[in-house]
Amino acid sequence: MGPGVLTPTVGTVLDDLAIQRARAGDLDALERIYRAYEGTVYTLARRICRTAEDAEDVLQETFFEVCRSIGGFRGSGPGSLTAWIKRVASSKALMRIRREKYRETDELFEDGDAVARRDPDVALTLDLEQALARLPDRSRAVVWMHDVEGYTHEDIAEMMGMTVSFSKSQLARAHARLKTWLGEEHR
Amino acid sequence: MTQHCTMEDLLAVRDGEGTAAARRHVDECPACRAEVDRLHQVAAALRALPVQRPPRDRWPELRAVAAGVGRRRRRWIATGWVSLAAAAALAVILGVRPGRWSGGQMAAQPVSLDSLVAASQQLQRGGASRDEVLRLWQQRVQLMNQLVNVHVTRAAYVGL
Repeated sequence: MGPGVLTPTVGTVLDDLAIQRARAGDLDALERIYRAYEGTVYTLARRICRTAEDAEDVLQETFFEVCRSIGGFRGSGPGSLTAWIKRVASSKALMRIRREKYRETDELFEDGDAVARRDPDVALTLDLEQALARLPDRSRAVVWMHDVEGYTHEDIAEMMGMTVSFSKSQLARAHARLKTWLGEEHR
Repeated sequence: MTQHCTMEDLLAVRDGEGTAAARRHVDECPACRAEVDRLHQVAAALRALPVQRPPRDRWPELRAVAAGVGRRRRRWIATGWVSLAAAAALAVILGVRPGRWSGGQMAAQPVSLDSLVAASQQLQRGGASRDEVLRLWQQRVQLMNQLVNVHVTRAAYVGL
């Protein structure tokens, strides 16, 4: 299962002609691409980044890059365009969590149950969205990219500049935490 | 595998990548099988989370950037064509034509076969001093080199 297969929706149907026109710099075609992918990219960014402001910045940076580089995009068909845009968005989102100040917090609590220490009420059952948001940044990013976007551990390791073992262990830890926090809800 | 699988093993089995031992254990152990099913459900629930929309429309800012990129791209293309046309015009003015230039260096000037034959005949006649013979041989070798260069250049440019 490749990246882009699992994710939500591309609201507008894009055809090859629209992609060709966008490559040539046609603003209407670029807007169609933006409209088609803004939800997908924002959702990905919102799940990986901690705040809505960061996600908005990732959305904007992603489409700046798309507008700048689509002339050199050599894929054909909306499938490869989706994969390319998601790859750009994932890289931007990962870059953001890497450089943000809260990375230190992540590492400090890496071993223990960080969130439980920050929020004593996490023993209560959370819904999935809340539980996902409470994961440390890099664990949350790995869960989303692997389980939802369909990236392999090799892809994730490459994009995060980490090892494959790191990606696997982050996923396992994240699921162990989610299991605790979700209580019986998903049993 | 007698012990239960670790979370990493269970996730690998869920993703179809587990070791043979882990897969066998999951097949035989109801608890681990239930855990793999649960992990499938969590992944499905994650994928079913709603798509989110940005709180404000970013397209107007992006449009300005895209328009700028388009203008720059068109300017580059135009500059490229103008440069190419200028280079072609310069080449015409300088009279550059195949055979005169080779690899950025001036190719050998056309050499006459008559000069080569004359140098050879002088050598064959004999009677010349040692220095004269040496000079004639050098001249002959030089003329032959030039002749070869002329043929190489013609072959490169006009396929002869």
